[in-house]
Amino acid sequence: MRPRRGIRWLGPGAAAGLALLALAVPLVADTSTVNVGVFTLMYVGLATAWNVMGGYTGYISLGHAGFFGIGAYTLGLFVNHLGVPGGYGPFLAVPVAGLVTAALAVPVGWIALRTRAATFVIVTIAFMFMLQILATNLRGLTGGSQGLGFPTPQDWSPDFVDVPFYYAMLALAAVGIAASWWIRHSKLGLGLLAIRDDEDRALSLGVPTWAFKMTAFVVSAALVGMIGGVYGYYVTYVYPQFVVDPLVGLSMVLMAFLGGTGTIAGPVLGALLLEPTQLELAYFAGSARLYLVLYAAVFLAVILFLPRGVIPSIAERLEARRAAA
Amino acid sequence: MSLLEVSDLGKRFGGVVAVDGCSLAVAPGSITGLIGPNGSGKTTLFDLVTGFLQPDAGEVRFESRPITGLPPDQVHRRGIGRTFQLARVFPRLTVLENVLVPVRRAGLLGLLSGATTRGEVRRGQEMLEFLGLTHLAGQPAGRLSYGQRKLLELGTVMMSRPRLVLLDGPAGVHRGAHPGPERGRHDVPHRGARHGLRHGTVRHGAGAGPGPDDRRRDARRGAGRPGRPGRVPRGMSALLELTGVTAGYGGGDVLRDLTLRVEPRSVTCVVGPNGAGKSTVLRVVSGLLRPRLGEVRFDGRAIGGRSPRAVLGLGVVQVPQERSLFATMTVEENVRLGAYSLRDRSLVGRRLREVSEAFPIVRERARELAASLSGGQQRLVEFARAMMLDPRLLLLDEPSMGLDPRSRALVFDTIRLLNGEGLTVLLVEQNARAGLGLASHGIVMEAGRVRLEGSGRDVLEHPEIADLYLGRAG
Repeated sequence: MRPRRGIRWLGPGAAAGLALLALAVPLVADTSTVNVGVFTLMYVGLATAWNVMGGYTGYISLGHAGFFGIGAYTLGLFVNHLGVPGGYGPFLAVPVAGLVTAALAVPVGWIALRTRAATFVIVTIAFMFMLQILATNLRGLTGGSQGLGFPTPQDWSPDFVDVPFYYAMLALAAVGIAASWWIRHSKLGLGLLAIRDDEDRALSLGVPTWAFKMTAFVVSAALVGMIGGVYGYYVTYVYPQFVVDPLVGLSMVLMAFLGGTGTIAGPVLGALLLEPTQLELAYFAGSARLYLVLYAAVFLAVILFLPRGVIPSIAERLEARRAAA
Repeated sequence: MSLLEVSDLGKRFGGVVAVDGCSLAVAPGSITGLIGPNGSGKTTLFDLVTGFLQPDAGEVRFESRPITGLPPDQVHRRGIGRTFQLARVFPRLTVLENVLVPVRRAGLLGLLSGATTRGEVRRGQEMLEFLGLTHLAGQPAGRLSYGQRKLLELGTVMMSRPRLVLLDGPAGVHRGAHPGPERGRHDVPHRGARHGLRHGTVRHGAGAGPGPDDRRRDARRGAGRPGRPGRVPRGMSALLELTGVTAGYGGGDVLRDLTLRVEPRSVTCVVGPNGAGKSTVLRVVSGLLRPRLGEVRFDGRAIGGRSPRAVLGLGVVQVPQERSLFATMTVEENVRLGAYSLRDRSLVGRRLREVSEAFPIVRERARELAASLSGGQQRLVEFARAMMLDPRLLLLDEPSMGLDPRSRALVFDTIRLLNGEGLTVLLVEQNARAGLGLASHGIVMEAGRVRLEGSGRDVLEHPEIADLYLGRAG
């Protein structure tokens, strides 16, 4: 039973439309919209990267903010040590942030992936807080609570300054989505989904579960690290409590859950829905962080009414309608 | 030369010796049966051979090479496949994706070049064709019936062309001439009159052969949509009556315009090929699944779509297919839970005494953890738990599943006993011979409809049916 033509082209059509729209935004929109765009695309990338581990493999990491921080500090330290001036230069160093984060993700994964389910969640949280404490206390390396500065682009006008970051985030989001798509359609992805459903049985069918989980963990961490690097450069100064922020780690999880974990489009949709809303609320509620209350409410509502996320729920409804027809 | 050689294998868990000095050899091309009562260490031996457990002593050789202590994925890639005791599939993957999971080559290369190739997908489709699951290829495997899962599990293992398969409790798969949804209807002639059987019709009264109602039903079917449930004239009061029930899960209807009756004080046994909708009938009755169309009446009251709790309150109790005792609670605690919905404590105490009377095991093992009982004993405790509500209708889903012959006999004797005391039983059973042998009334389902019914004995002895559904040999 093949989906009807219209439905089959719905996904690719929407994706192409969104991509065109995303490319065009800086050309037509004002600075504050582009600013919202930078953060929204950042979360599209983060939620997509998180989903490779949390969604496909079913290992819920609440510590991905740690990799975000590692990426930000790595990029900052790298460009400062090499004396790269502000401008396009630091963007070229973003892959370095990805590589270093990947390298550090290996020992973290080595330990964390000895556990499953709830224990894994707790180990990842512990990892994140350890990292936060390290960032605060390794003053010689990170500047401690005084923060780490990035070079600032001198010759970019205030109207233009968001645009390169926008396209950098867009590029990373695209890389993330491409990686997610490739993994989902590969033997690796099938193995990951099998691990999510029944790890022991996957093992008995020859799936090298350890290597697969490790690969997903490292790929996911590296993507998050690169995005963290661009974020650090964008905000020009990184502090331990803001760059290794549990809220960042929770937000990407919430977005993936809202859209639908384990799907390609789910995390994208979740980020597109939540991040602009969150920014708007933060703007109105000011620094009181009142928006967090609403955030919590959204989380509860998702768990209660859409436990599998928007996309799987809609897909199921469409299928049921087709089956009944 | 042996394909598999196990020598002096030993494994203990704390003080319990699970496998002790076990040696055996499996010749290439042979079928070796490993038998023993529940708890004798069969599954532990499989776990040791396939690398899920590390042996304390001894050696395992496959094709003359030692594989002792290799991790399970490597054991698989050496050419050993295994299934698990209860059918295990990947529930959220589609049926086709399930058979594509096995990995034959490890290493970075296999991982990176890893996109599922067209050849592999084609082989997967051929496998589904062979298993008769093609029409379900795009469905999540979690929606399959137990028997279909069992087939899918085996098919998945076979995809990597193992040279040795270890099948843990493969019984219960009756692939026998597995009829597609449509085949079979024309293959089996109407022999009803001779055998007191009627095809695809509702039986009311003792009359055999096509009657006026058949024509009505056929006319309705001919008209196309199985929409409005036709009124089947209600004879003497059936305890349970399903009329024109259509029900299913997200992926389509499993029951299609199904009509059946359960007479009071009968044992009614439903048999049929995998995926015919047997378990779904029970789910509709117990309120776990709301029928899309049609009517479910219990003792004259419409109960279709009522909550499981409400149905339970009317005296309909289901014993599910899978083991359902709470493993870390004692036997008595488990049995008491059966009366969880009763407020009257003295009544609960009285029932507990009665049930302990009928099921001595409840008294003898009262303080022991449910997990320490064998499979058959657990089944009995499940029955005891169901009896705590003094039910009027007992729904049993595959009560003999996973039991050794002695336990199975005990379970069936108990069903007979309970029925003798006036309890009505609706039973779904993959062991069709045993089930129909016990039943006063047998129903054969196919593709969501009643295909044939009659007395248990008549159904059992019907030659075509025996051939089609029950398998030739006993």
